[in-house]
Amino acid sequence: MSAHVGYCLFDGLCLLFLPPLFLGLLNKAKARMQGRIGAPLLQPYYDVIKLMQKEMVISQTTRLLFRFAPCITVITLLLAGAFLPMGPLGFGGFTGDMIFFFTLLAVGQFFTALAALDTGSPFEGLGASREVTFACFSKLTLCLVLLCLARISGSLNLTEMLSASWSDQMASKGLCCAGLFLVALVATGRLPFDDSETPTELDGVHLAMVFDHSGPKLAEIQYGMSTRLYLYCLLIARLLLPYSGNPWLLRAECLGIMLLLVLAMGLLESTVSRLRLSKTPNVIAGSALLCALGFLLTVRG
Amino acid sequence: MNPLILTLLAIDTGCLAALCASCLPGKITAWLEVLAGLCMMAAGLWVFHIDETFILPFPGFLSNAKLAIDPLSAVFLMPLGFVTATSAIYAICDWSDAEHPQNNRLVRGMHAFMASSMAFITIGQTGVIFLMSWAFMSIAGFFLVAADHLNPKSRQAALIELATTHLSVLFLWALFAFIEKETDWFGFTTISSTYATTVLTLGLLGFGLKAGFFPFHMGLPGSHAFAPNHASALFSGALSKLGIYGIARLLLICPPHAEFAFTLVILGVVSAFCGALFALGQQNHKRLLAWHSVSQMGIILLGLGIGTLGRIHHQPSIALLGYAGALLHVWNHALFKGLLFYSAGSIMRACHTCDLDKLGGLGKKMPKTLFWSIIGSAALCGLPPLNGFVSLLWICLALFECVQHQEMVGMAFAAPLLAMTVALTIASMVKAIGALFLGEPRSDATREAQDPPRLMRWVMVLHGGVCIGIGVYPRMVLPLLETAVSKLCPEIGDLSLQSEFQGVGTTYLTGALLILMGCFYLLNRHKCMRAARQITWSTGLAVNPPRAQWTAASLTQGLVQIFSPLLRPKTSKPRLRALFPEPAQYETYVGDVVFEGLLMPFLRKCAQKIGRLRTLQSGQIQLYFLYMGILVLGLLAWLWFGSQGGEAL
Repeated sequence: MSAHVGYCLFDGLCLLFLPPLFLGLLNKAKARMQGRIGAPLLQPYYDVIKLMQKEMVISQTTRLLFRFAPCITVITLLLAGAFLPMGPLGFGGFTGDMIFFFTLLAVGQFFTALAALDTGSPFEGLGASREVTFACFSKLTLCLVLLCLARISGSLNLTEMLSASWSDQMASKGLCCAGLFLVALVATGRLPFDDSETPTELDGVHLAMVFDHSGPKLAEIQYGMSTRLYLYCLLIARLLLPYSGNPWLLRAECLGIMLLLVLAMGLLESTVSRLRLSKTPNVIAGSALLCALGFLLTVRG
Repeated sequence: MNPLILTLLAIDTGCLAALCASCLPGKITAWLEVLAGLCMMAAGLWVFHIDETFILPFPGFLSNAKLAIDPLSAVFLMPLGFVTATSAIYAICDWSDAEHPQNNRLVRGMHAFMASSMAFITIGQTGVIFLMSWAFMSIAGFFLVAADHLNPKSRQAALIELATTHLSVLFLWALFAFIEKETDWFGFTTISSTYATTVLTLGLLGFGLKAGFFPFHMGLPGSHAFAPNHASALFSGALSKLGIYGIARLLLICPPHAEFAFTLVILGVVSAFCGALFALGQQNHKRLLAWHSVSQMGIILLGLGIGTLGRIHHQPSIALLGYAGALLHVWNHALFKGLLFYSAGSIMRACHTCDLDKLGGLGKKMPKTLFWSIIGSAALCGLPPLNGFVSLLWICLALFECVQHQEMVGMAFAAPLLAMTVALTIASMVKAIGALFLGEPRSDATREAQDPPRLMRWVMVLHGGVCIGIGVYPRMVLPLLETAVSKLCPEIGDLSLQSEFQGVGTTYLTGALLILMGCFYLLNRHKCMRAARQITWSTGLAVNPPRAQWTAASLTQGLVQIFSPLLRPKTSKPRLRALFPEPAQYETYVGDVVFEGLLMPFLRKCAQKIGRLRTLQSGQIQLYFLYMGILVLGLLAWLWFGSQGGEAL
């Protein structure tokens, strides 16, 4: 029992405190690839702390919704994280919590898009428009991945679904991971789908939506972005990892794979150029096709 | 006294209200209607409580008429009663005697009359009663849609509504006639599997036209968009549900039929997806909501189909999840769609338009309407912790359970499409709320806007409160649903939603959500208070003209463009030629592909081809007598020759 509490505590603390570190790692990897030294690893923490202490400027067009949206986003992300433990033992969850997990992420999206429109600024409207468009296609992929997992594990509980052994279904596992990786890039606003560095450019999606947030609200948003990155990496890592008996070992492996994933994203960011906007939905739909193929393989096998 | 008598009392009260509408002031009629609605809800609850079927036969009257109420009727009687009551209260303010002196009586009377005839449909078990009340309901519906009859579009919508209803009655006549031919009983009765296919097909066509699934939705968007706001709530909350009721009733009396269940799933998915897609392109707020009704009806149908499939393949848990999800969605849809139509009504009242591109920035002037609109929209999108999430979760779980059974694995294809439907719904709700309430006003229409009077607000609070209540504590409705589902599918035995699927664990999660939100708010409350108020920074523009805001059309333009092969948007692009071009306009419009693109051209062609027959219909009464004479003579001749032939044999 006490061990169980220990796992839960470990997962919870990782969820609360590690996300900015992964963002820092990603930025560092990117900087190194570009031949720069880059910001310190802990820079995202410094950013959040500094922003928390700053004063706020709020647009006079906005209303209460604008102020609540960032904290709703962060809270839903953290709650969703509670359903995604690093190992087989953790916060139990319930039948159907995998749908709950993804709808919680959708709640955050819904309110972020509304807050963007609340400012009445054309650029933020642009970001919101693109966000909801892309979300339609990423939902397809996510649902197909879940179908694969449900088929393989015979369960509808996210913790059990992720602990299933894929044994002879390696091909569909690979396809699902590839599809999910593409969707993770979209959801976390990475190249080649979204530019995470130049918020003032017209082609931004995520950052275009949050132009007008400042001070503590911006800190919440930045923390939320890193949490989303963390959650998606964790999901892919859990998919990739074979089930091993020792929960602590599994957690260590999980963190290791997440590290590799983040480095891979950094690598990708500095080698790939931005995709044309009109092509983005096609690529996301392509990722859905990959997962559909994976699902068909599990059905046949 | 039993629930059936109580329902009849409710119907009487409703009819009394309809009669009184012509002579008594509006308030009295409205409260009579509220009484009728409450009686309906009480009768429904009573039936759930004792879980029995009450029958009232009238031997020898109207071909042995029979009234009966069972838990399935009660499932549909409850939202009907609720929406009747709330819309009657809403109408006191929104369609008051002072504001609509020319047709307030007609609208009020027809509203009460429609509610009573709908209640009659849920208890009428024989064909004559069922078809009679179906016809009454349709006529009342026609007058409600035509309330604004000076507007030609409204007249057209009313005519389309009438035409589709006629078509549906035609199919229902055929349905009952067929049942009578096979069983000698003109009404709902147990059907044997040999002719179930015909019964189910006729029923699907007849009821589908009223429920408004995707290819049969012709009447729905127009009628919901042009009816008075409180009537729109009744239309989407109760009227289109009766189509679902008919299909559920057929599922109850027919043996499980695999092909039919499969058809329901396909129709449901297509309807859910296409409804949400067409909603994206709408510029009129009420029409957008109406298209979402098409989508939500599809989701309900999907639940019914998947439940039946589960029953056929002996998977009681799938059957339970599918049926319970579908029935709960019937309630939920009545609740959140009612809420959304009421808030749309408040906006129409304040701004006299529901054109999304003319409004904007209403959130400051109508904060309460904004709040309840967001609640309603989030419930429509199936976001936790609101009621829409619970029913969607169950239907989704039923689909996910199919994956584990090789014979049903094909049904899993519906899950990704359902997920995409939800995402599309989110997109169009973001668009609607953004265009109506957020940003800066786009035109003068919003100048004098304010929150509606207290009575209208309370109606919204009531609907929204129940939405939150069911979402946060779904256990409240579980026993009722299980009673109804066990009638539809006796095989579930003692399987219980409560113990098997704790998808209802949203209760404590909501608690966590609220506590966390409270903490976050306290954390930087002071900063928010002290925050400087500036104009929107955006990218550092000195001014942000409201005209430069993202409009409703542009927000979803990307998606509409991607799905343009299906949606076929009509756009008029300006041509910029010279160096200093004239001011130009860009317009885009998404119509109804099935109605405008397929049905109308077909009907026009038909009218051309058989138009010559119209000369027969000259309008001279003497000629008509001549036709009748010829007909009678012909029949006599037939009889005579027929009898001679018989003798010869």
